[in-house]
Amino acid sequence: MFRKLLIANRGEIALRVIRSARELGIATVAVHSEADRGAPHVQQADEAVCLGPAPSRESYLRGERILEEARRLGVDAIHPGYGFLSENADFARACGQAGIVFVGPPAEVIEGMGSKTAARQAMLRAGVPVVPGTEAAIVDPAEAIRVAEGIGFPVMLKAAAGGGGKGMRRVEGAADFPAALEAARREALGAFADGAVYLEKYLEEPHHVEVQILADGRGNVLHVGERECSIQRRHQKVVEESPSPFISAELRQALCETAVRAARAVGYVNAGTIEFLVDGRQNFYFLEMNTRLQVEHPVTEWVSGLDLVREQLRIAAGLPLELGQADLRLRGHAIECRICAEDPLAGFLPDTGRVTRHVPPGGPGVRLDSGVEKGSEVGVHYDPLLAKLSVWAQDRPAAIERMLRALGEYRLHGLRTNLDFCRWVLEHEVFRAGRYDTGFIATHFQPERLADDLPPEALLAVETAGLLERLAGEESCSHTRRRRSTGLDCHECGQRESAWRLQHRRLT
Amino acid sequence: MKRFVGLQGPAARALGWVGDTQSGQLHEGGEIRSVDACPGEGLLSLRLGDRLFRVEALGGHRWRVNGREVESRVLSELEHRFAGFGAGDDDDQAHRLEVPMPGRVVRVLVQPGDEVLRGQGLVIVEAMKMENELKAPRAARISAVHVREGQGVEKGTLLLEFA
Repeated sequence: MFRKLLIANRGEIALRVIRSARELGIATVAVHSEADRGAPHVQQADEAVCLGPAPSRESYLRGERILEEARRLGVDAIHPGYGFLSENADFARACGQAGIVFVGPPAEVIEGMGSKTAARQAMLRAGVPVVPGTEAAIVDPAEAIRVAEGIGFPVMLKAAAGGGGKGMRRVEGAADFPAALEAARREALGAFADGAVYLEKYLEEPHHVEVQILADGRGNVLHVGERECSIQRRHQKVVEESPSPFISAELRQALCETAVRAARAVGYVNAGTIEFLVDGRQNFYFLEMNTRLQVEHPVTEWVSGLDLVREQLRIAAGLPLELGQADLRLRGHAIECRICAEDPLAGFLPDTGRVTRHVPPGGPGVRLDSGVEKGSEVGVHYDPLLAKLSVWAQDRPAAIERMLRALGEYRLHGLRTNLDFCRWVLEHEVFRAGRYDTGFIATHFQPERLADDLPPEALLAVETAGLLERLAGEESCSHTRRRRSTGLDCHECGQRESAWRLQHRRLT
Repeated sequence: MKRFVGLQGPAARALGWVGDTQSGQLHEGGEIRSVDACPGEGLLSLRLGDRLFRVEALGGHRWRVNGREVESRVLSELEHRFAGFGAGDDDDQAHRLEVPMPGRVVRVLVQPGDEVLRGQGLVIVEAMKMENELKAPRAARISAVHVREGQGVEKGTLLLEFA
């Protein structure tokens, strides 16, 4: 096993990897930008290195700099997490050349699957169904429009190097095509340093179902069941669960077997995910293969009992899988909510600010993977994902109730979050019935309906709290008498002191 | 008794209070409820009669109770009588486009003098690696553009004005 692991990432996933490494007795090296100097992932590591200024291109994406530091510190393996360098074949190759193990598949496999167009061709060869579209990146827009007209609008523009919903645009007709292509290319270039974009037929409100794969490079390839990830906004997942409530037992078996066949066909090694689109008649198509750990891996860990990061590290160290397919028993039901700094009432626009309070939920069957704590600054430079809240219970209805309970306990203040939006999703009858598809949010979400069913007593409680805060504020501010006409804040000192802080002082 | 007015959306109701900042009696709609409040981490555990509510203060008139966020403000009776709420606000806002989040201007899609339709894209702002197109809230003529492409912007920066 490795002696020292560098985690080339930040936030919750860096912390996640550190935890498994520590349990395996591996020393950890955190990397960070100047903005993340005091971040939780840095505090938890054994050693830490600053890579540069806050923008990712000047810090977390600097592969050469990371390798230099890894050599200097005697690191023998690098875990890339997700995003950043995780699907960068050049970086994986450079690790190998430096004699450092890249925790992931071989560089050629990353390359093959990282180009969505090459991946489509590889899957066609392996007999895996794919969505109709262009076989290669778009060079001539006019030619691409002809292809789109051939397969029929709407079509989806996608970054060939893409993932995570970036560089994706739905196009309704030829008139919108050039502007959408320009935007998709720009986003792709910004996110992946590669502006290549291809197109696919847009499937009307499909389900997004993916299969977790583990392969040890010794011929053992197994699947760890599927995840349903159809609750999406801006093509990014928000709520994931395992098993999928939508697919039949036969389809589950077909998907999992196809995924294993696809992984074998491309010579896959380590943990990976094959994503499928499933239409209303349970036809499925290969969407893409993610050659890394997924954000939503905790739901698979819940139902399988596996530690996927531990498996990744073992495989990377050349150890065989300890389990065969028959040993793997998937139990119960797991759900994950991605808690993001964003405002669901304003089109899910990202929010920034300082986390002023962080009180995580607890109790049985609840897990929180958080990249922030009280005092953390959430800026514009990185993904708005703050934390992942996941739960397990013996069946789906119990898991839903458990998630609602945990969401209610969770206090995360200082910026706008989607906590209440997640609650709304889990209470929705279509979600509860397990009949939702990727059109769920667009079809059912009306921002003004988030808080419409509060009982009158609860509203009165809020007003009482407001009243008490006012009272405490008046007592604490000597200028109170002069601010009668203009509302809540004092002219002289700008702010009231909140009742909370005041009462804390009295008590402690 | 101290007199207050609770405001939630368009609704306003009179509230009376006898007590200190932690316990007392709430007079509302002819009913009197005993209130006992205990502060927690970012939360007020509030007993209203016999029922407990955990009310979170999110700041800026935003609160969370029962896993739901609500906007609510409480004014003294005098403040409520004198304050003219919201007059002119909507009108003014519809003449200005401000950045709803910090980021960087990627594209300015209009110039002064352009006539735009409701919903037409005006400016593309990149925030957290995503491009967000800010659209015209109504049909209008652009009278001034205050930002250029590539410029970093703070939340609330004035982007453009329209007549």
